[in-house]
Amino acid sequence: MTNLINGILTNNPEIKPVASQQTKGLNIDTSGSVKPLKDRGRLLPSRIIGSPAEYVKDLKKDIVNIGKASKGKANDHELGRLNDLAMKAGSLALAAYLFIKNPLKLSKTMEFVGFGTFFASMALWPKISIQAPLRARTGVDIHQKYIDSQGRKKMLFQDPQYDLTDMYSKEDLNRIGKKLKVSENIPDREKFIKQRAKKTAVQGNTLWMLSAGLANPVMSALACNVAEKPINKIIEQVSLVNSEKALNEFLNGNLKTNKQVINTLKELEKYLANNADKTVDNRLIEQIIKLLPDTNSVTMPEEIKKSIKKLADAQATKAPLNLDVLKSKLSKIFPDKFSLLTEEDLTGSVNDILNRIKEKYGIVLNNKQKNDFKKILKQANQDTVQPKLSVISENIKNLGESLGSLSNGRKYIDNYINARVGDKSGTYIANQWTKVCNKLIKSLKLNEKDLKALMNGDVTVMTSAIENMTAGDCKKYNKLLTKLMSYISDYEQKTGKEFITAVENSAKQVCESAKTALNDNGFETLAHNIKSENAAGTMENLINNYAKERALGAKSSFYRLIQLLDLIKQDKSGVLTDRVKQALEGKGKKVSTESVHRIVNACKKVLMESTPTDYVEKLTTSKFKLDADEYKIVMELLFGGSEATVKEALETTASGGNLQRALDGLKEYKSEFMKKVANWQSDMTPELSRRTVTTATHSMNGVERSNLAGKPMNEFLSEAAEQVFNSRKWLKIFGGIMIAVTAATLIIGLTFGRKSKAEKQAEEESKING
Amino acid sequence: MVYQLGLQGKINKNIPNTIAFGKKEAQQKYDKDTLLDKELKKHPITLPIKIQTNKLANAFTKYPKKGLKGSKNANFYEFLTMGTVPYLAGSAMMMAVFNLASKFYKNEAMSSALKLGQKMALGVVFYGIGKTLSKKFIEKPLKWRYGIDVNVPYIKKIDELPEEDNKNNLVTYEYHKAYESVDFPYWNLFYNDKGENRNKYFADVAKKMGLSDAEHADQKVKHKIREKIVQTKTFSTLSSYLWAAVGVSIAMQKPFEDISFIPRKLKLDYGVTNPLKFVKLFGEKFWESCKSFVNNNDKKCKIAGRVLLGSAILVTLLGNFKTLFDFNKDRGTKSQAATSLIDKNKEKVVC
Repeated sequence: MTNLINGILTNNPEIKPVASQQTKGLNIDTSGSVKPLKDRGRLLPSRIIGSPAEYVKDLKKDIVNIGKASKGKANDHELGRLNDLAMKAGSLALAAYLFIKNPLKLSKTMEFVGFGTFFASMALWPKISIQAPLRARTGVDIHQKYIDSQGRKKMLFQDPQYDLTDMYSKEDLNRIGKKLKVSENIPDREKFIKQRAKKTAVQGNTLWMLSAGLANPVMSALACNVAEKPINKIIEQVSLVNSEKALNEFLNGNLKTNKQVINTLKELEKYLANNADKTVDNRLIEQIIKLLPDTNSVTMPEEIKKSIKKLADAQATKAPLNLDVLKSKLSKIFPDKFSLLTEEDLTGSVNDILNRIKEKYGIVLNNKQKNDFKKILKQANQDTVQPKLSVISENIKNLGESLGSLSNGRKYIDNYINARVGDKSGTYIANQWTKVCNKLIKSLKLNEKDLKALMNGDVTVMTSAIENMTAGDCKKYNKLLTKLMSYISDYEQKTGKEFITAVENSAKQVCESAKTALNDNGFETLAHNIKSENAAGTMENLINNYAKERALGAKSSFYRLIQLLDLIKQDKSGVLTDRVKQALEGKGKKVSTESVHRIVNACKKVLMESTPTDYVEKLTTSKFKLDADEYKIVMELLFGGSEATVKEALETTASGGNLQRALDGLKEYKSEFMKKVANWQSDMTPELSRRTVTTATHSMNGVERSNLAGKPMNEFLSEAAEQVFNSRKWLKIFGGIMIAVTAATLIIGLTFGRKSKAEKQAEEESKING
Repeated sequence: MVYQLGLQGKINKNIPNTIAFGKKEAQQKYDKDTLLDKELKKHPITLPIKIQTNKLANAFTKYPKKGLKGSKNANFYEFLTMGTVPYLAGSAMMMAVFNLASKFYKNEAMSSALKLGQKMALGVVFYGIGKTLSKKFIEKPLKWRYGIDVNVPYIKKIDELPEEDNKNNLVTYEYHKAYESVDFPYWNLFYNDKGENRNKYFADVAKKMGLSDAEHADQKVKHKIREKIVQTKTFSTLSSYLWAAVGVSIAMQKPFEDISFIPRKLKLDYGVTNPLKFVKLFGEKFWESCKSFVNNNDKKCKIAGRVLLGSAILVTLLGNFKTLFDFNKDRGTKSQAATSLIDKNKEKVVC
């Protein structure tokens, strides 16, 4: 609030007793009732961080004040506090809305984290960048609080024209005076100190207003950036533990059907009861499908539709003969006499009817007319009436319950799978992928230019960086490989065999139960679609395949990366050249520098660039240009050798025995790859490979092959570099802004509280005069 | 003892009803604090714009200069006026946080960063619009019903103290609102010069409030006006942040991903070649976003959107209800004024 009184006094020094008109008629003697309040104001302890208990107490007071203010009873101070409270409440409402709107757990959480960091930045920025440094240097706390005679907490230097520095004790003033270097032993020293303290506060508060807008959003964003990583980790861990616990409890029968399914079934039951008299038609079936529990399957609604239709058709009855319609149709054949026919005349076989109408009505039909007559009669006899909904409502209800149980089970299985290998951010697989990428790129110590080059596909930046790491004692390389293998080991543990077995067992149990229930209620086709021994596209298979494919895809890429690092090291040390020579000699091929070089390059190129189709085509495309023998040599070098070179590089003591899991995994991966991808028949064609292929040793489809091949390393590295580049760029820009704003604020703050020439002169004059 | 503060009866009748903009012009027209109600009536749109422009210019130039120097003439008005600096700088910085780095990204990362950045920037704009406009939902009805304009401005003449670098140019002007303080509304500005019409403003308000004692109108309605001002400020503040949240939520809807503010992209992706087409496209996206906000495909989101919008509407309506109806008509009567407003047994604050 502006100090109106001061302003008015400044402009209008004349103060007159009030005109009689204003008090006329009230006749109140105010002389004894209006008196100054006792001086109860005091300074509050100067703190950078306020106490939470005080905050809660103030909040309670502010909430009570809303009630008072809504009745029109509030003062400026209370309205000011109400504004702060409303701002926080509005922001909280917004955070809550965005929390609900965002589908991802991390994004949801970050809405509240953003809310918290924003208000924390608003409160902290002036304290750490202005208030604390100024207090340390000048002794003046520009946000010094006091409590007034009415118990209201206010800032001492809020209004520079409302001088409250009298509240300072002599000790305080001496302390401030000493820091502000106000001359000792001058008359009116306290006056000088108070003036300088006020001046410092005005300067500090102005700087606060000027810097806050630049600093708060950036500070808040940086805080969110820092908080995101640990929060993500916590969410990941909570999801892993909770999803496993919930699935186990469900499978053990300890969890009841969830509310959503129960509510859906209630809605269904209500609909069945309300529409019992309606005929089952397509529209009705569509409506029923919408009310059935969701089983998270794209194909199920169509299958359910077919099954309900089949069920309804089985209950359809023959339509009663509509004589008028029949007569009207028949009259088109032989117009005159069909109008006389009765229902009795039209019973029996067609020949009987024809004889009857010939005898009774003299109707004689030619061959064409006979045929048309037969067709019309046949059609009339085939007309059926679909059943009322009440006829099949019990079956539908049972279907709903079976699907409800399936939906419930799927929810737990899907949560279990998605927490580990779900295709969205914040899941274990996504976080592990980010960890591997960040570790790799950061270890390469690339500058912005190299990062950009790698982003654009120039992998030589990466190979030369790895080659540099392998120079000398390979410490850096070993450290990197050990770290990456420890991440992979953890990945193996969480998404390996145990995970797949758990999914398979759960899917089996849930689908088996649904299958039995559906079979019992006459929905055999649906039951078959959910679980069947010899069908590929059942729900059970889809669940299992999804988990396997997701887990395998990332795992293959991780191992492909390890192979690449190992290959670069082998190449640098010359081990690879020796192995190539041996392989060429083994195949009886000519060993030349050119051929060795070509094979070495092909090995690197395969790991860097090859796609599943390249393997199918035996790397014969212009990209690789390998003949059959060379193809075999490359495959054996990459996937046939031992893991000895990788094992040698591992700092086993650093990560204990866990690394053995990753080594075993690498061995298994290479063996699987050799068996299922690298060792394909030579006559395999791309066309054939697009279909599910059965060879003598294995059966696999394109998706499995693709997952086993993993991501080409040039793409992997480009994406990893991009991820690091983006976050580094953002951090560079806004970290830079934050540093610049902070530095500028601190430097400007250093000039505050200093004695001006006039102040120096005034002190000198005071000394002389005193 | 109640004191009359000097201005009463001194309003310069020669002040024309035109807007004084800039110090020189103000010096010629205003030799004391002056209510700008007549000017506002004549220039309802341009006067607030001019006042805001003046305040904004000072907030970025004159006041920081004074403040950083630690001038003894710096005051709380200047500090509050400088409050627009963090608002505007903060908004710009908020937009920058989500947009500045995206031009360095490529492909998908750039596209998704731009989409989010665009929505965040719109969110900042809609926050400001929602917060500012929504206050009018409560302030305007009060003005229409009782003639009380909580934002009625006055120009304040300040005689500053001489300083080291300024010893002569000591007169400055500030734009205040007569009702900016509920503890000290600037009542004097509402009295006419002399004679029968001295109480006219209060008499008019009293009449609209259903009170007919024109002679003591000021005494009767001042407390009621103060009460209405408190209620208006309370509810407009509470509702404004909810409307601001509604604004941001609308900006966060999916339809706003399908628009661009880059002319080249607008032309290529949306065939927008002139501003009119852009306004049309923006209008369409805004409407779709509003629909998505209250009728989202996701049930939880739909409910949340409706609850948020509902609370904003509810608080606004409650504000209208509280400010437009008087539930204690007796409060302004002579007897009540005598007994409750000045109670001999209670302590009174004297500033």
